[in-house]
Amino acid sequence: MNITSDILRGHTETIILKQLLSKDSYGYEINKAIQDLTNHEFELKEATLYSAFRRLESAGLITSYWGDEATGARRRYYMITSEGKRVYAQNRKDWEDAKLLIDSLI
Amino acid sequence: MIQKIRTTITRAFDDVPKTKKSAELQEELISNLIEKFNDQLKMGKTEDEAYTTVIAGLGDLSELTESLKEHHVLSAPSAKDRQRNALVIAISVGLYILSPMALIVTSEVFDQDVLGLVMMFLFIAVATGLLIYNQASKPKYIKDDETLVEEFKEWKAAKDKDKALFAALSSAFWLIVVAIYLFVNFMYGWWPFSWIIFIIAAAIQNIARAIFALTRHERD
Repeated sequence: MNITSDILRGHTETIILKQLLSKDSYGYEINKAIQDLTNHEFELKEATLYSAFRRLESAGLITSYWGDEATGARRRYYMITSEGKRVYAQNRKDWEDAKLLIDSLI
Repeated sequence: MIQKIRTTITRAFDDVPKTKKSAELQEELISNLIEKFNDQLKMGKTEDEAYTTVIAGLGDLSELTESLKEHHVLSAPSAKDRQRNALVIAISVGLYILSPMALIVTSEVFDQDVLGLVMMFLFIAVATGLLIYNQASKPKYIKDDETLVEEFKEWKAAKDKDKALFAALSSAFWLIVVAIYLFVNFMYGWWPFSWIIFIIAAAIQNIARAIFALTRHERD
């Protein structure tokens, strides 16, 4: 499990970018999707998730806007930029390469 | 219980500068945590269990708050700075207005033409120096976060400052040109061809502008 969480931590930003590829979303929804995809084995800590948003936003890979919920607290939605899509594709390719490499080594 | 979540988050942000950015981050966090809390209740957990799950999922919030502490610098000029700014500009403008007076008084009353001219240029030089010093010593705009908007503001502030500096220099330059024009005409009667000075002056100004733009381009 330790190796797994180490590897996952290194890919937090790519994981978030992938969630934003299909639609704009907000923090909790992204984390829920991640949990569902991993059968509740993996969940990002809020601190990790929101720090990653800040980094992605300042790097210009995502932008954010406030939703207009009729009831309850406002949500901040994130949207992937074209640069974000490019970086995601690159990271994904890098990961495929790394996978092949590690498979031949381990 | 929701109030307890709210308090936990606000407390974690206690020693973070109270910027818009930090307020928005708190709002975002709280709204997402409340939704998570309500989902936990729907799944049949008690309020206490739900609260514990939410807090346990937070992780190390200092990771988040530390990033907000950097880059925070007040950028608005203080009242004192503005006063000093206004005083310097007033003195400079006064000197510009007085500079031809120095020439007239010294040359007419004391009959010292060269001294009058020296006096006039001295006044202009001091006034221009003051204006340039004033512009150059203004604090530049400092980004208070890393967004595109802040970058744009910083770029614009730098651009405006450059523009003001250029305007100050060129107004002094034209005053000097007019002074030289009047001086050579009245002193030596070069009326027929002294107009050429304006064409030369315009050329010099454009060259200066080009050099100015080039150096800025390189800096960017």
